[in-house]
Amino acid sequence: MRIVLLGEQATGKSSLLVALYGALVNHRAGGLRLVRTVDEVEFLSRGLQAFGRRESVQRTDLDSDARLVVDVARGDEIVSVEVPDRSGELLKHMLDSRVWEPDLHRQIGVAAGAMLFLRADLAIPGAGADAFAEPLAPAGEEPAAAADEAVAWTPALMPADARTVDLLQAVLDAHADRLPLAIILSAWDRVGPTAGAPAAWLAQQMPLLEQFLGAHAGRLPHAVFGVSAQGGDFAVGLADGLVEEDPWDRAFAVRPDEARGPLSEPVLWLLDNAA
Amino acid sequence: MAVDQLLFGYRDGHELIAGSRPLSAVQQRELLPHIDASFEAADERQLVGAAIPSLDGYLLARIWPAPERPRPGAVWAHALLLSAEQLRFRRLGGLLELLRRPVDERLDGYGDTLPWPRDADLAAAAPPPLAEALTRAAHAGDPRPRVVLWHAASEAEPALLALLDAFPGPARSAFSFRTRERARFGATAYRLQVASVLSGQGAGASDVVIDARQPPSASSRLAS
Repeated sequence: MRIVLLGEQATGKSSLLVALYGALVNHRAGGLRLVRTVDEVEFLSRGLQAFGRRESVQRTDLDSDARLVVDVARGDEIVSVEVPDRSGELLKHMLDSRVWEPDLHRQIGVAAGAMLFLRADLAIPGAGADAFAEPLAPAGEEPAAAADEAVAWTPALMPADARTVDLLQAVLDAHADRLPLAIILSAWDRVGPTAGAPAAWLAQQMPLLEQFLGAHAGRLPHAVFGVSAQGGDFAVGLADGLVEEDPWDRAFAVRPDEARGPLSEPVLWLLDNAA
Repeated sequence: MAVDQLLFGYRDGHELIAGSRPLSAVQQRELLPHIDASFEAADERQLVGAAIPSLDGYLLARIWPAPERPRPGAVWAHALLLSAEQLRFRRLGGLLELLRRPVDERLDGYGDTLPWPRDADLAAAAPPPLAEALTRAAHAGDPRPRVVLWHAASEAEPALLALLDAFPGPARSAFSFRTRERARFGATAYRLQVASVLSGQGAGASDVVIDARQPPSASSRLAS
């Protein structure tokens, strides 16, 4: 089963792959069991080491050809799962330039399912799309003075809600058939236990996207998951009790019914709903 | 005679930070895979040379890790954009001297064109086994991409520029290269990769790999 990852930079794609790989290797993947790894797992091992040091996974570079390719067992059935991990900047530049990135276009065409990544902690109005974004201006420029000047509109200024709908409209054009979509609200640990069900949170924070998904439920059957691949925020420190835990024990997913489960939940849902 | 420069780094994603010329979205999209990288050690760097059709020019860029930026895996890339005329007719040996990493995030000077540098003699700068392997790989008789293995890929930088310089002007744009820690096997955008490790499917195949770390007799057996 080919799964395509859709998400701009710093939305948790590589983190989920690394944590999922750690869960599979260490028998924390619920109903999924790792049978064998098919491709190189060096980038996944490095990511797990970073999690072990309580550091975030390195970003995926634009030249990367990394992917997770594993055979997994679900009961008596063995399924091959292939998930290319392409840089989120490819999608960002694709949306900004409104021109398909050829490799992503090909991936969507042959995918049996997709994961759409959104940062739960950044989807509020006024927040940027990238948690790591930081001003960087040539010497001598005064950002404060520039703030008073009119800025020409570009697609880069669209809020995450509208950009995601723009993306999904393009996906509908590129993928002729039904495409099951697992929506991953990453950094779920940062919105706290009061956030409620992931789908309700999405409807409240990103109503345009929620309505678009509802209108295209036939072509884009979907489920919304809250995911914490790190298990907590390394920048502010992990909560008591998590520091000593292994990365695969810290990570969790919140299912559409609000129940907490292993990180394999979105993959299991895609396996159940793939054509 | 001046040469255009571009600086890429991590701001809202890996993007153009400063430059002496504007780039369209399509041009940026074509450039970006060449000026991004992942590093395993803070002291690594990469050198890239490739023709960029949408710019009708040639890119020469060096990439460094940027651990001072907030995103893990962020990099700096400083690129020179040679026009088709510069690539065909100019001596290229001095260009490496122009590539510089921002220090303390000071970005002044990256928005201006750079004066064409004085030529530099690069021919004797590489260890002989490496220089020989690079020459054989660059002049291989078939179009398959080649990989040269060497202990420290950055040692190949002057020799790669010397090779590019040595090609006849019209042939230079067909020569593309990248130094990196791990060479990619399979689909690659580069005619020649210099690396210390092979990775990817089919990495065991040796007919396009020249291991310059080995004694000459062994290296001859590996090369096609």
